[in-house]
Amino acid sequence: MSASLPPHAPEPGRASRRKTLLARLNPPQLIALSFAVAILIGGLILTMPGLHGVNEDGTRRSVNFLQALFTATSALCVTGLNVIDPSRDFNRAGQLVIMLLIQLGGLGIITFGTSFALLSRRRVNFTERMRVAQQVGALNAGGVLGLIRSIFLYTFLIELAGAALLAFRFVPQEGWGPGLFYALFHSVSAFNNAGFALYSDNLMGFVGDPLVSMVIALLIILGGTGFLVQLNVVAHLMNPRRNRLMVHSKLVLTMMAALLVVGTLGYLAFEWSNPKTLAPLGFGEKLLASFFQSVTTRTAGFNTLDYGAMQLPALFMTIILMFIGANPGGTGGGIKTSTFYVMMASAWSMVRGRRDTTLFRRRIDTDTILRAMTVGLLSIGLVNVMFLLLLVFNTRPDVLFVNLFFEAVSAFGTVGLSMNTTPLLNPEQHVVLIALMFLGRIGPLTFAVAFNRPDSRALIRYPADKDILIG
Amino acid sequence: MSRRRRRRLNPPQLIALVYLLGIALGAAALHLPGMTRTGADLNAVDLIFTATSAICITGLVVADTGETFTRLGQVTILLLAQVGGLGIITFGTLFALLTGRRVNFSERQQLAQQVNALNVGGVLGLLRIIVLYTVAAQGVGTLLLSLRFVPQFGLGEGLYQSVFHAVSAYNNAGFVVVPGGMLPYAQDPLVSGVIALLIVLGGLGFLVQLNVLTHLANPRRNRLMVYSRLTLVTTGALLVLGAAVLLALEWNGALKGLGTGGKLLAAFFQSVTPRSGGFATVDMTALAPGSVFVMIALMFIGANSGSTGGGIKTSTFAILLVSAWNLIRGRTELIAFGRQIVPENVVRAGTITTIYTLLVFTGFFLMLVTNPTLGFTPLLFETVSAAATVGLSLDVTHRLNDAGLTVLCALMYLGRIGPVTFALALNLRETSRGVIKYPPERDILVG
Repeated sequence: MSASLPPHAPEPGRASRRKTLLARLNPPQLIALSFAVAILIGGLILTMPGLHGVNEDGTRRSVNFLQALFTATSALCVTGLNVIDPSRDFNRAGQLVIMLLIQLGGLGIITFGTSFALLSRRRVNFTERMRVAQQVGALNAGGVLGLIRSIFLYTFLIELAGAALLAFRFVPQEGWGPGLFYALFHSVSAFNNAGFALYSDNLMGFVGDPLVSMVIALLIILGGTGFLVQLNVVAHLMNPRRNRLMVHSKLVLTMMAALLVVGTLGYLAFEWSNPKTLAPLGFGEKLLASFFQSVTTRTAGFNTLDYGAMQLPALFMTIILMFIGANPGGTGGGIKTSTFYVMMASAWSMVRGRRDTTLFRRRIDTDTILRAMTVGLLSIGLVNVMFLLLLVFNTRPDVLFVNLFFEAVSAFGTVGLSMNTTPLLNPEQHVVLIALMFLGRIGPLTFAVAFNRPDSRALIRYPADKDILIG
Repeated sequence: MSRRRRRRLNPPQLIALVYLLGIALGAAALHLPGMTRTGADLNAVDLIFTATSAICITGLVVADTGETFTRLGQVTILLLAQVGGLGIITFGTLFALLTGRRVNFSERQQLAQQVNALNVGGVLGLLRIIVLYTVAAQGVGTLLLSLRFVPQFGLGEGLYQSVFHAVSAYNNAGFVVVPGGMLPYAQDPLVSGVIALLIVLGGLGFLVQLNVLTHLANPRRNRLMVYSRLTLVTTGALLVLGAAVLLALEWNGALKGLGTGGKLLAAFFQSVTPRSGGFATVDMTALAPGSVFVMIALMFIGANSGSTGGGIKTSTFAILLVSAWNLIRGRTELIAFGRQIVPENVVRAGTITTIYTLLVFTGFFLMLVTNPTLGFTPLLFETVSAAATVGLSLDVTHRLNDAGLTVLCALMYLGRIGPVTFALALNLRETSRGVIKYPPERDILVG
């Protein structure tokens, strides 16, 4: 099982030292580097005029390098914030490139997240690791490459199934060729929690459409649940006695469901009488729209309602939900549901004057709490510093405090929801958002593994539970 | 069953109850005739709000204190603030000295020695020394302020103004009764400087001041505690940093009308006041969004534990910052001033910040729901100002409805006694606290 990187061993000879230059990067550095390189290449590709859309009068629409870089970052970090309109500023080939970037970014983050959980000793304990390895083995895979293959297979299967369902709406509406492409694009965009859509108003045209709304919502949830958790659930359903549900799975599934319900009720309550959002809709449509917006905050970024027209309570709730984000090991962003839970549980036990934080009859050990605190508070710090930069660079009086806060959290959580502010911002602010999307994508994952403290305390207590993934 | 079990209040319950009682008594006192000027229209919620603001030494007001309240009413408010301030200093110091949860044994002994050197005997003795020290600091402040206010207002009125603002500043209360507010003194080094100094002293807390004074008197016998060094450095760094950022952001903004010296003075004063004085010599509503955010952040961080200031406290912030820095550097041990910070303290600091954030966000959310038309930024500003017991305002407090005022009251109360203390007070069951022997490195106050 020691497939992780070897510890820093003294390397004799110059040749071998040069050979291991790349291998000597620790996993967080490797992730950061690969994302940065991919973003740069993606940005360069999207600058090519051949990928840009054409106006009615035959002139080519121009996308400059910064806009292309922003789009590539948004796609690879599966965010969905846009400074341009992908449905008009890019032609079919350009949209295909964006789709591939989304796919690459999503697969990258699932693979990295899952590998971390499986291979790094700190995050899943030995028996859990063996059990998960068995479950991966049950799918005829072996080693890291096998794991990656099964992740790819699983991703493509779900995306194809989603595309097939979406085709029932898009093919009649757009014709065969474009309809199939639209179905595939939106399926990929949804499963990877990207939130890119091929309509200028995102999915607002489908606010009352149960097929598109529900399929997209389901894909978002599947993508945001995390590969290991789904594997665990499937294995558990097939053979409940041999494969038990991990504590981690129980936790994140409960959290996800709770957040979905809270969000749905929140949108219903706060926007019920808003004439620009829910008021004109019938009861069923109100329910559907509220559920969809609640799903999309974990952290897809599609919208069927106009966030620019929402009122402050709903907006603030959205900001909180976006910050919390999805489950670890999936395509979603934010600080992650488990991190949020551990922070809250630890705060609660302090408030109650308890020494230990417990969960499903297990004690959450100090290391896990420390890691959750680290991820949560560093993320708050990161968002605040970047938000301050957005405020300082701001030149437009019509871009308000709340708008910038919303976009900052959306970028950090790689959500992609927008109060329609992003295109109005200046280049400096776009650079800040690019940085925030990048850091928001790799940050929580990296913060979580950075804190590796040797276990030196030998106090005897209840059995510790170390198998909650954070970040 | 004949044996009657007398319930003794534990310290958190005592604090929670005392402050609640203070609010009730204060509001009742302010309701008496002769407290408000004729024509002032204050309902029960307004009076409770004023009493809460005074005893929690916040300084948020629903109406101008000088114009609404008679001299008697103003003195009542000042007394409430003084009692609230002395109470929190005494409780904070007692906690640190007696419970041992927050200062380790050798430091506690050292502290006890220093206190003993001042002839302290028991709780009442401690209270006496704190009162004496507080009155002395406020007396010096009054004398200095009277150099300006006596020539300006005449002897009687000038002395009154001096006493009021010295007490208000040392307690980090932020109540102002001078006609026209503090804005005219933006370029006045005497008034600005003395009030800023009193705010800083009040925000350092009694223990740190005592430690510094005894250290200066006898450096070899009385060493500076790690806690003192940590909080002094953090306070200094935040003051300089805050002033620099405000200067940069407001040079051509809210500070525009002032000369270069005035700009420096005003930026420094505005950097002092969020921790958590509540006086303002610059119109807060004229600040750029970036500066408003900086003020919110400074208010949230607040002053020292066991002081008259609020917020998550400088030590909590410092521990978080040191942890983050060590993390970025890839170090596993957290070191501050040659001492290791134990993980439990980091968890404690993180938890307190989490709880405070939760408190602020819950309050803010309720403010948004009850007063959705007043805007995002002003409501966030007032919320943090109340929770950190600062008293700075973007001028919307008097426009809040009763529900909004009630939320702010709750925030001021919880922010003053501390959400953790409040929760522990509600915790009626006996827990395992006090059984565990903590390792000896827990020498940093958190919260």
